[in-house]
Amino acid sequence: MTIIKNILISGAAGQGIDTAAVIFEDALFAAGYHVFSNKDYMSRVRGGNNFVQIRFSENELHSHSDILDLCIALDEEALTINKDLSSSIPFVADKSLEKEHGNHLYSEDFRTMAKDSGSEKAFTSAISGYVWKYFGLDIQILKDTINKNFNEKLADINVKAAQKGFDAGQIKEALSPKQKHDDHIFINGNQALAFGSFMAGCKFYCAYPMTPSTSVMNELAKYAQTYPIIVEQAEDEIAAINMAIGSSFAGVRSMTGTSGGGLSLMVEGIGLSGISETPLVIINAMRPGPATGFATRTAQGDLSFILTASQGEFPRVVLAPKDQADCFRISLRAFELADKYQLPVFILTDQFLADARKNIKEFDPEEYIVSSYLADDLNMDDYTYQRYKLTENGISPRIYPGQYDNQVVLHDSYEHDERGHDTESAYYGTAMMDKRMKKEELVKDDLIEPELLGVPYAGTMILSWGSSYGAVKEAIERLNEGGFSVFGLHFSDLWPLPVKNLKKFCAKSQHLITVEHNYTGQLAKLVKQETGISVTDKVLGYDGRQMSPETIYAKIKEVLS
Amino acid sequence: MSSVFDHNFEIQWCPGCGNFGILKALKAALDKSGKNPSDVSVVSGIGQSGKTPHYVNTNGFNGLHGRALPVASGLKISNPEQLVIVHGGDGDGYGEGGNHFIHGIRRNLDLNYFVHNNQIYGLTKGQASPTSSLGTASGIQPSGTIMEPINPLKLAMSLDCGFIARGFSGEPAHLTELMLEAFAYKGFAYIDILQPCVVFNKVNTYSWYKERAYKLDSNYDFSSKASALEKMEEWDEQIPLGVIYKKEKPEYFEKASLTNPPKVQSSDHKQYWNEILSLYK
Ligand SMILES: Cc1ncc(C[n+]2csc(CCOP(=O)(O)OP(=O)(O)O)c2C)c(N)n1
Ligand code: SF4
Ligand SMILES: [Mg+2]
Repeated sequence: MTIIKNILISGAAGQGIDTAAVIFEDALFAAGYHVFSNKDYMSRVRGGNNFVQIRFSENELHSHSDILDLCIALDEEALTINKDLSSSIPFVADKSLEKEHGNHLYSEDFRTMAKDSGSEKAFTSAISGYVWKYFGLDIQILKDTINKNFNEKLADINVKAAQKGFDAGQIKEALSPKQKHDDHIFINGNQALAFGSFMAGCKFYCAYPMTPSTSVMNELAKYAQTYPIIVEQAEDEIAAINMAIGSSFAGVRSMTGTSGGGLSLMVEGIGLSGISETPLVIINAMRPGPATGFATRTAQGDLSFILTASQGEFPRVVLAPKDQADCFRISLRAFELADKYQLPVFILTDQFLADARKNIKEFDPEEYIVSSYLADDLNMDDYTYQRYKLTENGISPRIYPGQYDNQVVLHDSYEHDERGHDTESAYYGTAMMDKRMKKEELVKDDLIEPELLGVPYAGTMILSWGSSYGAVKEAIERLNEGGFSVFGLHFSDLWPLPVKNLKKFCAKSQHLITVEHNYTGQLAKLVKQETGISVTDKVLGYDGRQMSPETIYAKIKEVLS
Repeated sequence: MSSVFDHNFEIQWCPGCGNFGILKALKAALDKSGKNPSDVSVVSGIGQSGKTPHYVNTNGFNGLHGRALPVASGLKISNPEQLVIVHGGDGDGYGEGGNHFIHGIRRNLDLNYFVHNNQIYGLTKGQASPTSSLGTASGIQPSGTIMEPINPLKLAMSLDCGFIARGFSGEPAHLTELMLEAFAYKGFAYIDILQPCVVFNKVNTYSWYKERAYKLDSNYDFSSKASALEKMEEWDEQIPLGVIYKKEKPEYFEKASLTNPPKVQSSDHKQYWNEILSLYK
């Protein structure tokens, strides 16, 4: 039997849940386990209830899960909120919180242990030490991880607290030691986007803070301390996208990022990138809308919006990473596509994936190619360069200001002629639209068909996209184990929608269910629009929480029975 | 006299428009600057001023209404060698894009921001703009605008902009000198340019400006905040032309103290692969 454990850490904002969780996850990873963690937090800096789920196993994990093995309750509220779990799983909490509570509550005087170690703030480390013992793990690994995460003084205090917690605990479930996966990295979705973008050669990131996109900016700002990238906090999202466009015009790979509300402000700029054919990568980390919506929660509600955001028609590409490794790959592809086809490329992620951490096999740097799509072999008479030269395939040679000392380059938001001058001409109206839209046909060759989950031609086909990949994959596996014939197509590339697999597998399937985190089934609408194929049923979640494999399993089962 | 900055594209401004004087001054300043056209970028938004990049032989970016400054900022950050000149309008730069004016000054990139201030929305046919005087009548405000005009120079002053000047399209030679001084200034150099709109602004005409405009002479101390504020208040009786306030300030790149600023043609980031990877080990 494969061991899978799932720990819930529940507490108030400001109690240090994040730090405690990161250390615990890092330590598990260092102990050789595969780890998948996800965050659920409120839009407040103190109080409320936040939680992190840390799932770990000897095999690779693709999803979070509702099946828990242990709950660490950091405050009274955490005990109350999770009361329904108290009869089925053990809880660990500070002694001060001891009260009427199920049958297995492990309570120790963690606060005193922390105080005796030098600071009451270290009480989460005392708990970590205690739980570490619970699973019979090697305390040295936990200590090393603490040392890695804190400065010397704090590390000292926390290591002491962890040891005290460890000493107070008992082994309840001895897990066997594993070999650390040295060729793995441990990363969340937004870090993977930052990493991939930087490796793609992104040298300018401009944004205005908005959860859950902000951590991309934080991560890149960290890089900017040492590496050649500039991170600029703009005065608003309108400035952010226009600055990124200006930087791209300068010949530099540039990106902006935001969430729904910010994207709404960027909309005119998206069209500017489209008509001026200025390459641009835009990250939209989705949260439930409209307006402020659920600021710190997750959704897949912006797909329909992004497909047509901005007036008029112009080519664009929409990519939705399915997991952390895909975040890396897709950010590299996004820059390549943006440059190659001179258009805006969206990376559609969400709060769940942004914050979810997972260990993944490190990428092979030789596996990806970063190319320059700038025209470096122009040989033209002085000042005869045409930015929007009409070509066979719609792509015009692109240069940046100053690249050639006998040429100038003009980008225009107005409909223009080949040189980039405003025009009212009907001829250019048609010719330039045709030119731009040709690129949307062309880009299809570089897009990737949806991933097949399970064995095709079975009775029911599931459609899904983006961050729900892991949960859907697990649900499909369980359904098949439970005697249901189900397979899935999971989309990462969404626009232009790749339809080959869809047409191939759908003809034979009798029953089609879309699984999405929105109200209307936006992928289903897109599929219908592009192929005429209608879904039979929809499994939808729009409460701001990521559906677990168990939820998806149960909902699909309900549809099938 | 012909210039390497001349560009043969049909000019769409009305005959007699003040924008011709600005274009003339700009080309003369570029000529005198000794720059090569490929080393200069003219960035604009939308409005009559927004058409400027089409009429000079330089690099250009004609972007969105109100959004010239952000485009220019991104360009300047990523290609600091370009001489970047931003042409805005009073509606474009003080209305639609007002936020970027405020924060552009704070950011203090080495940009040249020239606002064609005709105190009216020209391109959209004569509505009141942020600088229209109280009572300016238009199709939308038939009995006159009830909005108080902003004083853009004082706005810039309140943000401690390091180069604040006023020019007049009716004095192109003087304006050329101002532009050259702006080019030479390291930081955000801002010139509000009085620009008669001969079609829609029947109050602030060439002769209205001419009667009031006077040039600040060498006795004027542009480093004094007090005298600058005094000059910025002048309007109804007389209007000063010239550099009204100037002071040295650290510009963006000096402030940013970037250890490793990106270059357009910088080498592949793959060389940092192992270092970045180790962050996630
Ligand atoms: C987002 C947006 N809103 C409105 C317009 C329409 N529009 C174009 S120019 C302009 C006003 C121009 O006034 P100003 O900036 O003073 O320029 P002028 O024509 O007077 O030089 C307006 C409202 C637009 N192009 N874009
Ligand atoms: S409408 Fe006014 S500002 Fe516009 S071109 Fe004509 S005169 Fe110039
Ligand atoms: Mg105007």
